[in-house]
Amino acid sequence: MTRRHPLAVLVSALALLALGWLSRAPYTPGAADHGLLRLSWRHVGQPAEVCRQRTQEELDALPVHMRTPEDCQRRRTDYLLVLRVDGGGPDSALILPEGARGDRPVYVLRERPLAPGEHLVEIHFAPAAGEGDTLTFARTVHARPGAIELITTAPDGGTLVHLSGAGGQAP
Amino acid sequence: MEPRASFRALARLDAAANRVFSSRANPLYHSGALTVALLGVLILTGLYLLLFYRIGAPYASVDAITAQSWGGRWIRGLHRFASDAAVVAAAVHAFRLYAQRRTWGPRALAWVSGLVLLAVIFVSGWTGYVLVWDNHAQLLAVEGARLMDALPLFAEPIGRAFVGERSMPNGFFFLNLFAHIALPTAMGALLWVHVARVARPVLLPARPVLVGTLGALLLLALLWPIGMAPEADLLRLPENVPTDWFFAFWLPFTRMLPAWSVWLAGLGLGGLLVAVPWLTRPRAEELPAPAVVDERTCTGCEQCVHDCPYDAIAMVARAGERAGQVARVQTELCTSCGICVGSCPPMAISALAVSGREQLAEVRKFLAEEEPGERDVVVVGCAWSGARTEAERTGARFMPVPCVGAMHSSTVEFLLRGGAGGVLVVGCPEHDGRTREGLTWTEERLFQGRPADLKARVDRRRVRLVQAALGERAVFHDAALAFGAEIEALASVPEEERVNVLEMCRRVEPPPTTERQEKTG
Repeated sequence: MTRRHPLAVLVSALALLALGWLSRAPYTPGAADHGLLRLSWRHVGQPAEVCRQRTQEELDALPVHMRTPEDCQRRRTDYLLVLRVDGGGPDSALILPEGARGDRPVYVLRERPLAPGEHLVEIHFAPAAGEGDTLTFARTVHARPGAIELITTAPDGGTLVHLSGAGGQAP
Repeated sequence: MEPRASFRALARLDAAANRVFSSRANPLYHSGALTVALLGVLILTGLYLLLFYRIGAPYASVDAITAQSWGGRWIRGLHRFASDAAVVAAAVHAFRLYAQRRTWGPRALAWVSGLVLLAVIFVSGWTGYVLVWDNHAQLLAVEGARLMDALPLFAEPIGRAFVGERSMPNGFFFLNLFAHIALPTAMGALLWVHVARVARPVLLPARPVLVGTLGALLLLALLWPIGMAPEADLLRLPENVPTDWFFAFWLPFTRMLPAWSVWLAGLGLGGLLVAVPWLTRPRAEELPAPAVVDERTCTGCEQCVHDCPYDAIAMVARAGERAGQVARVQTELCTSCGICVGSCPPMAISALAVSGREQLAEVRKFLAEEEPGERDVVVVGCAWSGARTEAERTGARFMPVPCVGAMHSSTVEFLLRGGAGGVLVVGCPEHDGRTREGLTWTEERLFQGRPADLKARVDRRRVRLVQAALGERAVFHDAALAFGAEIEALASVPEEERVNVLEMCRRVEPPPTTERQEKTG
């Protein structure tokens, strides 16, 4: 036991050091030498209601209380998001409304790294087909290392605004 | 048969830990009970932290707790380190069971419920780290939201809550706090299921392990307390995040992968772990037979019912003309550990095809071959105790048994009556998991009158029981030498006071093979 005790203390101390270090060892999840452009908003698009007249056979097959003459699908509009940074090639994405039937709002959440410095950010967000609400944004954004430049909708939902990770709403 | 790699690895780990800590204080043997004890520490320290935590100011309140140099700082540290140690202990516990193949049959329930418990520990830990709302919390919350959004569960993507558009609502922290408290409560019920198949579950480790572990964690919390990382800022990319790798080891991997592939990998790994009881189940021809009671010999004393570590034996009404009850093994609960064989005074139980009568037949064979003398110590032990090698080193004769816990006490009496000067029984540590309660019952059977007890006529000075595990050669060596010296001294007793019954033993014929098979079948 006299030889065992110092060894047990040493092994315990090493195990404790490992435990203490692994419980707080630093981790940098990504390159911190660039900024990030984040596009995030919720948009209640136009319901693209498509109705058709039910046939008499269809009506007869339905319970009495469900025999409405029209069958309507209230799917909302698909949106096309086009992003350009510094006039480069467009980064386009078709944003579909949420929900199994597509009757929920559309949610945009996209991220893209930005090198430090000034960048012209242009965004065009419009229905993929037909008429509807359109959101646009064209402004110079100053990217800083480690900061996130957020483009989101203003509280009224009608315009896109820029919130800077470097502090508050950008001018 | 060549032992599996996992088994060999565990044996080496055990031997190393036994050399360092001794088998009585080996934390690897107590990993399951240690996990439960650490969960208890988490509840106690968590109650203190709950008093000062504010969901309206999560970061500031944790900062204030950490600033309490005489209370909060070390209690928070102890909370963190106990959770980390609980993860390690649970992982060791699972590996131990896997390596020893204690995963299938009656133990499948414990394995699967243990996996669920481990998952609950991880989720509970996740909610706890988010409560601090530092950059570590931000990282976990954002990644968790990304993964959750891949599932069609929420009306709106929850990842939008973490884009930085607005500060986090109090409701988020309330929900996390609720989950952080509710999940450990659910663990109580899960733990009950986890140990449901064990007759006498051990929920606290041996005192040296418990005191040593808690003392060490407390010391760590005092000397190297957990500090405060920068507050979460959803419009900043977190860097140099002080990460708890016991709970967030998956983070670097999942961040590189699409959410659906993370779920796919998680489901695959989870499914594989859940399937372990079926994957590790031996083939039909290798399945160890459950214990069998010879109902004609059973006296209905109920000792095997008391001794069975798995509540696998029940008393039922005796069939036929004889009145009373008889023991019957519930085969679906029996793990074939053999402890009941040593508990049966009339030797009516056999396990692994060995009954007390077969053990005595082995003793007769051993006596005939070895002819131990009055100065000889016969060492009785199983393969795991490492007793054979050490017996050869010390010159003692070695008689192997499948398990000391299953050894009938008459084995010792027969060895002494057969001429051996002393019998040194070498048992494995009870908590290494192979022989639950085996050493305790054997000690009580040999020295404290627990049936099937060593008869009073046997000179207890000639019997010694020692716990010596793998890696504890010195323990065995010292015990063997000291006991050998005592037996040497006893050998000076005059010849006429001793009774040599070796010949008598030889005259007792074992029952015919056909009869034995009929009884055990």
